[in-house]
Parts: sequence; structure tokens; C-alpha cells
Amino acid sequence: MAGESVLIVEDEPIVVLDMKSRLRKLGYQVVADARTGEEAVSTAKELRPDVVLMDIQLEGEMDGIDAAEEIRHQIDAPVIFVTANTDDETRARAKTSQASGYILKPFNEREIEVIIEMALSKHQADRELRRSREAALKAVKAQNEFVANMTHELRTPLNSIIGMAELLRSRIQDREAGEYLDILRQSSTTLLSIINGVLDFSKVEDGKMQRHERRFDLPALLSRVLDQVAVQAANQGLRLECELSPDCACELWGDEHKLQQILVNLLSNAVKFTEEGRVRLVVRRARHKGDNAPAGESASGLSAVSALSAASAAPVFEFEVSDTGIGIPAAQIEEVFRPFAQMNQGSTRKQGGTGIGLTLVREMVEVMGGTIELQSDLGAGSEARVRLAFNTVADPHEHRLHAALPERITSLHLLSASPGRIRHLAEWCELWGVAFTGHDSKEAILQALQTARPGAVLCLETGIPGYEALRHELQCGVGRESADGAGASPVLGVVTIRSIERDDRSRSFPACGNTRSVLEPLRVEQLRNVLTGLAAEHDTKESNHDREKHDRRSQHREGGRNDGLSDKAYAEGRLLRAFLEAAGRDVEWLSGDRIDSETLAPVVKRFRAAAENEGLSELSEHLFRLMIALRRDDNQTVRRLLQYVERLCDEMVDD
Amino acid sequence: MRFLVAEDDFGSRRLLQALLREWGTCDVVVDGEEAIEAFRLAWEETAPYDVLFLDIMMPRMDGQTALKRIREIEREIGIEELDQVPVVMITALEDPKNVIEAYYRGGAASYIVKPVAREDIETQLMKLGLISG
Repeated sequence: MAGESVLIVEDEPIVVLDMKSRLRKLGYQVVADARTGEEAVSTAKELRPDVVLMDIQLEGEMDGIDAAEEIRHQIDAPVIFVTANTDDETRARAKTSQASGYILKPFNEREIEVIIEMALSKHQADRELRRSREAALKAVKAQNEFVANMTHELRTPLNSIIGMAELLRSRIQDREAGEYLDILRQSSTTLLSIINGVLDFSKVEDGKMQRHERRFDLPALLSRVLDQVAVQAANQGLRLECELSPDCACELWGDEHKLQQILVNLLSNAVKFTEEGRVRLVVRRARHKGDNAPAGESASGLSAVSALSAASAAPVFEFEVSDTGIGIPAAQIEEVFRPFAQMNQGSTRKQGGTGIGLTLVREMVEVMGGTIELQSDLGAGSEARVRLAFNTVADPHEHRLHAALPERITSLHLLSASPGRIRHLAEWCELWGVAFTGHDSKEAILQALQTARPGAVLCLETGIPGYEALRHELQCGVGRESADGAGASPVLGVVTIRSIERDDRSRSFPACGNTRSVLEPLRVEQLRNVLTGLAAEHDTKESNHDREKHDRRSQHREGGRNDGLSDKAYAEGRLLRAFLEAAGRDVEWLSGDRIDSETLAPVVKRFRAAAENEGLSELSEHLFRLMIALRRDDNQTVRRLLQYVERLCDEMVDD
Repeated sequence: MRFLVAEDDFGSRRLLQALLREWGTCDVVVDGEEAIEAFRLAWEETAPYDVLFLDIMMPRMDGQTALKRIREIEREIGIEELDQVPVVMITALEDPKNVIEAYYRGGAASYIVKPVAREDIETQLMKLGLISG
């Protein structure tokens, strides 16, 4: 005992005297004594004793327990109750008042000494713990602020890198230089989104994430989202699909930025963890309880919808991202939401990334008042479903969408691999009063064309199995014969649905009228405009038919390729076509198990040499990898590369 | 000169390809397994590579493992240690553990830390005596 100062609070003078003399004998310094709670608080504030001995029953308004509470709050000193009172209620109150000790009168010197010493040392330890906790919290806060500042600093130069690359892009004619710029822009955009992710993450840690709501166009947002992942998906040979319900093609009120990040994160995750197959985004209005739910819809899903919409009274939108990737083991589903978690580590890990994507997604969904569910079968893919409520903004264009199509368009025939797309287009066509047929095979759509009335429009989803073969046949003029045998093609035009924007030199179908392409996600307004445009073009063409024919012929004589294509691109197109012919384009590469590597290998080798000679580095690279994959009997890679070459060919102009 | 580049990131791959064009032709693959097969193919065609550039972190098989396998193949076909193909490891992390492993166990000639600059490659080729300053 080092002469710690003690304040005694006791309303019985004799007891005070007794305590004082005993404490002094023990070596403590009694700095004062107080009679009431109020006096105790003010004396404690003034003299700041090391420890307070407090009687519970005191005269006046404030009893010992209240006074102890106040003293601890004011000067953070340990308080020990000294009392004769032992009823249960008082004991319970004393317990919850975080007293540092409790001693019953009468007490002996040894007892009080032990209790005071214990109270002092425990109090000291508590104080240190509290201080280090506060220091740690401060450090985390400082670190988060540092990360936030740092990422801002990183973003500033990056913005001019991206901006300058974009400015330069429009001025670059050279194909290769253009490709380098695209890589530059793509890589810096990737870096920007990583930085944004880190910044958002520091906001989550800091509890600073907020909603920023404004009016936005949902289909336009989806286009931007798909744009961000399309290149990666295409490079991996994946199909990227988007289904947007007609009733979702509208303007909404909400946090557009967060929604975009949620979807980009989910989609790029899906692409990252899928080697073969497809990644699909489906956007629809969530059904309420009592509506006709399809079989298999989980009850919990429905109750989540009703809870969400009840809370906000706004319609609930469902965003579903599914893939055919590696999936997640059931035991790890919760794990993937934890920050910095990655399923496999080490230098052969296939998927890069910071490991905060899904953590952010969940945080953002929560901030927006929504729900997220993740389902997965190991090896069979994953499905993430996000439900968010958004208020819709009245759409001034709506009446235009319902307006009928030009009469010239009599029917729409769709080739699509996606049942959702077929359903949506059927709904739209019903709205427009146009006959509709949806097909998922080349044969079926050719059959439909045989019996089509003049004025049919073909709508083709690029990149699906069978598309290449169909395109080939249509170009050979299969669509030319009409049902009435008059010789003119019944097909007014072709609309291709693409998930990625290439140059405007989209492939045309000369035997089938004009070709237009639309980008994913397919929007009702966009499609309607394209169809109206097709009909108008057709009318103009009819009247100018002869003149145009003449013009085109003379153009052809004057040197043909005046469409701004470089010789290199032309050479590439020619080479690609020749390669696909030589490799046997009718072979069902994409679905067949057997790949005849003995026949294919020399063809690939020959064309690789040709590509190398022509300086077509991208094609040469792919053909080289194809050679390697054929030697390794790596059929998966062979198929993917063939698919890639096929798509490359598909993107080139052929005449 | 003939180069082989194994690198899984598209942009980095194109960059190396474009830089190496100054000194020779370049084949590219995207992982360690493909690198081994390309190495084999080059020998079969009696046109072995002059330098291999291997990224350390790659899917399916990493650069370290590929390097070890390539050294094994060289031993199998009876290539003297002095005639082994020079290998330059490429890494995004300045990680001594990885680099030391490549040096001592795999016999890498040297390494380059990303981002790769033209000068880095020039320096490496000079050190290997493949070009003169």
C-alpha cells in the first residue's frame, strides 16, 4: 500500500471515525468523508480519490448506488460498497452498478485491505484495456481514412489515363495501335474498379456507406454492366446472356451506382469462376404472395419479397446471376461473403482478385434494404439472387411502345438458346399484334422460313450453337425462296442480338434484306425502333432498287472495299473463312465429343504459318495455342479456341 | 531469335509480344502446361527457343513447375547444363521466396518484376549475351 487516497461516504459519524482510524492504521490516506450522495459526488470531483468506500443507504435523494454510478462516470475511480444492508434487491442493484467490491459491516482490517487492493489493481487493468481498445479503434479509423485518401489519390491520375486513352481511341486509325489502346483502356478500367472496391470497402468498415438515389434507366444501366464484363466473357469463350422482362424496361428511382456495382461484381465473379458454358443475368419483377408462383419457388423467397415490398411499398425487382461454373461447396457459401476469402490460393490459382467483391455486394444490398441469396452446386454452377425495391418513374414513352409495328412486318421468327428470351419476345409481339415463333435449332427456324409470309423478320442471337451454320446457309440463299414460290425472299430483314459491340461492320445477310444488330440487354424500345427502321429501309430500297443496284455495281468496279477496312482486316477475314472451310465448318465442334486432331492439326499448322506471314498476330496466337491444345488432347481448350476463331470470323465483314 | 512467352493476362501478353518483336519472333501460351508442350514442339521441329519468358502465377500450372518440368525434359533429351534454354521469370510480386526458388531449384536465368519495360528486356537479353549493347 502506497498511501492511496480514500474517500469515505457514510452518514453515521461513529462508523466514519472507526473506519478512518482503521484505514490510517493500514497506511491509507483518508482525504475526506461525505454524508450524502450529492456531497460524495462533489467531493470526489474535487479531490479525485484513488478509491471510494460507499455506504448504500444514505440520507437525501441520492443513495450510494446512484452516487457510485455518478462518481465512476465523473472521475473513473473504483467504488467499493460498505454496507450492512443485504436484501436481495439492493444486492442485485449493487451487482449491476459495476461496483469494484462489496463488503459487509462489520468488517475486519484484513478483509478491507484485500478488497481495496483488488479493486485498485482490477480497476487499473480495466483502464489499460479500455485505453488500448480505444487506441486500436482510433488506429483502424486512421487506417481506413488513409485507405480512403490513398484510393482517391490513385483515382485521380487513373482518370486521366482512362480519359486520354478514350480521346486517343477516336483518333487512331491503325488497327494494332487501336487494339493496344483498347487493352490500355480495359486494364485501367479494371484497375479503377479494384480501387473503387477498396474505397467502398473502407467505407463499409467505417460505417459510412450511404445511399445516393436518383432517377436512372434500368436497361441502359444493364447495358453498361454487360459492357464491363463482355470482353472477359468473350475472351474465355463464354456466352453472356441477359433476359430483361418487358415490365422492367423502365426508369427507376434508386441508387444506380450501387446497383451497377452489385451486378458487375456478381457477373465478373460468375465469369471468373466459369470455364465453359454461359453466364446469365435475368431481371424481372419479383412476384408477391398470392400471385401465381411457378413450381419450385421457395416459400422463403416469397416471404422475402412480401417483407421487402411491405417495408417500402415499391415494386421489388429481382436480379438473378447464374453461371455454369465450378460452384461453391455448401459449407463455404457463407464463407465467400467474408472479406478477403478466396477459395483457392497459391501460384496456380486461376482467379485473381482482392477477395472483397462479395462482401461489398452484401453490404450494398443491405444498405439498399434488399436481400441476397446464394445457391450453388459444386461443379454445376452458382446462382445469386438479389431482390431490391425501386420506385418506378412514370414512363412518358410507354404509349409509343404499345403502338403497332409498321404493317409491312408480318411476323417475327426468333432463334435463341434462351427460353426466357423467347417468352419475352412473344409478349412484346402480342403487344404489337405481330405473329411470333421462337426456335432453338437451326432446322426449326429454316422450316419456319419456308412457310413464312412476305414481311417476316428474323431475329438471331449470335454465338449460340447452330448460329454459324444457320448464317452460312442463309448466306447461300436458303431464305430466298418464298412460300408462294414467287421467287422473292419472304424475309424483310435480320436483327442480330449481340452481347458485345464490335465495329459497325456487322455481318450482313444479303439474301435476307437488311441486317441490323441490337445489343444486350434487348430492350423493347430498341427492338421496336430497329424493326420500324427495317421496314422503312425496305420501302426506300424498293423504290430505289434499280438505281442502287447500279450504284453498287460501279462501286464494286472502282475497287470494292471502300468501307474503311484495312487490307489487314480484309486479309484476316479471308484467311479466317478459308481456315474454317478447310477445317470443315459443318463439323459440330461445339457439341461433339470427338475432335479429329489428326486431320485438324496440319490444317491449323498451315494457317498459322499463313497468319504469321500476313502479320495477323492475334489470329496467329490463337492458332498456335490450338496446335498446342491439339497435341495435348485438351479438347476443352480446342473447342474454346475454335469457338473463338469462329466468332472472330463472325465479326469480320465477308464481302 | 525465337521467344516463348507464357502469361495468362491478356494485356501483359500483348505487351511482351509487342516488345519482343524488336528482337525476334514470339510464340505465346497462357499457362505452364501449354508452355511445356510448346517447348516440346519446338524441339521436335528442331527450332528450339532462344529464351523463355514464364509468368510465375498462372492457372493450371504455374511458372515454377513448368520450369522444373522443362529442365527435366532437357535432361531426358540429353542437353548439357550449359546449353539449357535461358528462362526469365516474370512476377508481379517482388517476392524473394518465389524468385529464389526459381533461381536455385529451377535454374532460371533471371527475373523481371512487372510492369515490364522495354529496357528490362533489353538488359536481360544483353546479360544473356544474346544481343550486344
